[in-house]
Amino acid sequence: MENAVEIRDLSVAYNRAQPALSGATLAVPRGAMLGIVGPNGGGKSTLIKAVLGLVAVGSGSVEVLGRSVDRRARRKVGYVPQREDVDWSFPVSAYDVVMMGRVPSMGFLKRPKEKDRSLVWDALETVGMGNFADNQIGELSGGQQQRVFLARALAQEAEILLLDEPVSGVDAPSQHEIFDLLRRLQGEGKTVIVTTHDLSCVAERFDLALLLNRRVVAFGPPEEVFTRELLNETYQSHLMMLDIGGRTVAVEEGGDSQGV
Amino acid sequence: MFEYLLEPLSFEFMQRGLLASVLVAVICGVLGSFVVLKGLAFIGDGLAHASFGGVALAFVLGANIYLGAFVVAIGTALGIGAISQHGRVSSDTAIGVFFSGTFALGILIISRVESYTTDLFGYLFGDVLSITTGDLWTIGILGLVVLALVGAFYRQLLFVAFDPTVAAASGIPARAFEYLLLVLLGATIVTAIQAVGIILVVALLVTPAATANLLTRRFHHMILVGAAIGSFSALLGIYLSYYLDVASGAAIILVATAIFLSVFAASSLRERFKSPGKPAQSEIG
Amino acid sequence: MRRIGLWTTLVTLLAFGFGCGASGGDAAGGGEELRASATISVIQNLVEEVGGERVEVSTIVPVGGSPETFQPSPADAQKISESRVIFQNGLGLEGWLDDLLQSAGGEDVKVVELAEGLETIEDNANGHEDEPAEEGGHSEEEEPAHAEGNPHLWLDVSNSQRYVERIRDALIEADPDGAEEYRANADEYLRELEELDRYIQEQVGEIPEENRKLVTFHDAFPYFAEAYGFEQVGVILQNPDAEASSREVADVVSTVREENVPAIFTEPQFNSGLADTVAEEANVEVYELYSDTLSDTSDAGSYEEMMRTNVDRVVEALG
Repeated sequence: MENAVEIRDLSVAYNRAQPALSGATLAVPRGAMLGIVGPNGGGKSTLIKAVLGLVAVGSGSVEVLGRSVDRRARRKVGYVPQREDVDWSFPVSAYDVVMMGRVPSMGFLKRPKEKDRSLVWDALETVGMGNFADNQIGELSGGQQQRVFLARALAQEAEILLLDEPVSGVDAPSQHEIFDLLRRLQGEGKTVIVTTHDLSCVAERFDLALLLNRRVVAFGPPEEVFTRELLNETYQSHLMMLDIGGRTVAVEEGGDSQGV
Repeated sequence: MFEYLLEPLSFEFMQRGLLASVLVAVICGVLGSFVVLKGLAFIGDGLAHASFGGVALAFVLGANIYLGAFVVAIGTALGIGAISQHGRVSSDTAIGVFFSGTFALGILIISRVESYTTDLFGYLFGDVLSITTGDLWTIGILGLVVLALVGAFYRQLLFVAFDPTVAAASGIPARAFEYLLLVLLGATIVTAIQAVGIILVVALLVTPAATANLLTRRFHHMILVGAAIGSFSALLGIYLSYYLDVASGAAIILVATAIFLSVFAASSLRERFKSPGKPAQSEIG
Repeated sequence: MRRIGLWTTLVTLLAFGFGCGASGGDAAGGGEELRASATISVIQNLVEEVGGERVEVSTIVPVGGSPETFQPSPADAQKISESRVIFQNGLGLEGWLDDLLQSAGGEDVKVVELAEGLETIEDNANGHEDEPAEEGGHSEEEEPAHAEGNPHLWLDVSNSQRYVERIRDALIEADPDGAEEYRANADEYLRELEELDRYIQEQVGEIPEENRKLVTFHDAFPYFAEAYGFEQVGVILQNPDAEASSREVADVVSTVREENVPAIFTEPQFNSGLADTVAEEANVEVYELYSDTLSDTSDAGSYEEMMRTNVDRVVEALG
């Protein structure tokens, strides 16, 4: 099967002192749902940006759907950025935001056509935000905002969805909704790649996990890579693994405890 | 009432001044929306001052001073863009360095050609009452170019303004559009300076758009309302300057400022009455 | 008003940036010369005429600059500190001089105020009033640029003759050895000025009486108008430091139309945009007159040339 994303020996360095990522190699098959976990500063966002072609690649290569990351390949990749990167007071409605997904293929001087409008409405319905189309983006809750951004990626007709920390700052029920939604989209053939701190979610719902700490520590099905040794290696002193009643509990520095 | 409206219009220079300031206000209202939302006010101020260096340089070289102002303002805009993209110098710092540098260049030049001092300073302060038919054409053509470009690339510019990272990620040349915005900003500032002068031009760019931002929730509404508030301020300001016998540029800006303060007060009051019912948006999530 | 911030920047930059080299400092000449400074180039020329070879006089406001918008630089302080006599016009024309004297540390320098005690004219408010009685009140309302009476006395030749006498006396006091030479120079120059005055009277005689109306850029010509029989009917910009209001400009246009003034006058040290506006609106010509400064060209290389050029242009414009 053709791979959605293929990364070979990738290194990225923002400054000379310490590479953000070195020697990363992995292949994400089409239709997979991959969770990327690792400590802060471990290169999760860098890896995402490399797939999007937003950072200068030091060495190695990134291929998306069998081609290097050019403009056409980018259109096939839908990106949902971290919440902190977005100006939520901007005067745009949910509909406006989703319509932005149509801009790359719309061309200059063009007004949205019937097809663009129906893709936007379909995307809004898919994420369950059809009733909120006219709301200003800042009026929505965190979970709703994430779903609108996901709808934008869908309106873009992306085959690969990249989400950077989609559930941080979102309440628990909304987190579940978002992961259910991603699962459903995977079922429709999308490739889903998510960075997250939520190890349990990855363990329960994802079919691939990537442990990342400036290099690929482990890559494979969650049940194979979420071992005590590998997690310790990934988080080093930042995560303590405890065995409680037959379950392994990961306690991340800062107090978040998550069952695995 | 009607007589009061018509009397100033019996002077052609008043007609030209009104037309010029309304045109400039419309252009500023459109670009000002981007300026306000992207926090570019400081860049606007920087470009306005930098253009003075271009005026002085053009004067010494015997070139058209508006061309000189335009070239230097654009050069400064692109320089600021390039330096801040590099990442090691913040864009505020880059603006500070560039605009004081080019402004100082202008002052150094005029200090050597003393007899032209007044002419150059006249440019700094602008004068909507001295607008010639030629100036009107310049402003009109530039306005058309700015509005046409913003219209043609409206969706791209909006996407890039709202979310530059995702825009770039989805294959839009975000960097190029950011530069386009800076170039349009430079051109608009140089044009608007003729009407209100360097010191007041930023107000015309920022105040009506900031008022519109308080009143609207969609970007194209903000643009339209900003242009409308700007034009209204220009009209009322010029009439006030006629009937109260006060400086025209300052009157325009003060009308815009008064509108902003009223709208701000009204919307703050409304927020206060509404607030028990609905939590502020920042607390959600 | 708006200029203040900008000028502060300018002065600061000048203070830190460049000392320009002292243009008053070419001392290599006679060695016996009396060093003097004049605030404006018109006065500099008068001092040159009286001082002849014995006096080295420099001007503070450069040729082409306006004393009313001028800001001094460190080089000007140097000029002053090297001078034994400073000639100023007075009446608020050189508002910056006191600070400059202080920073130059020239307590022992002699400052001669040429306009002191001469009869002055109150500032004319914009828009001519027919009843002179109203003028005082109107002036206050308009906040004229010159609070102590209009300073442009030298545009009436007989006032310049008083200036010359004062210059002569001051030079004799500072340099008694040259007394004879100064007297001789002054006498000759006063005769020339007498001739200049006659020339102006003659020329003005060629202008039809109903056309002897002046609309000037700023309020510099009341003495000229009074001495030579003109009526000052309007001033375009009452205060050269401030932006015009549209009403002010409209009033001048109306005056020009109503009074059938054939032409209006601008001055080279000002941006003529507003004058062009008025002229185009009222469909009249614009001519340039010298007021606060001489010029590098032969039009107004000296006071005499400047006055001749002015009257020739007035005749051409209104004649």
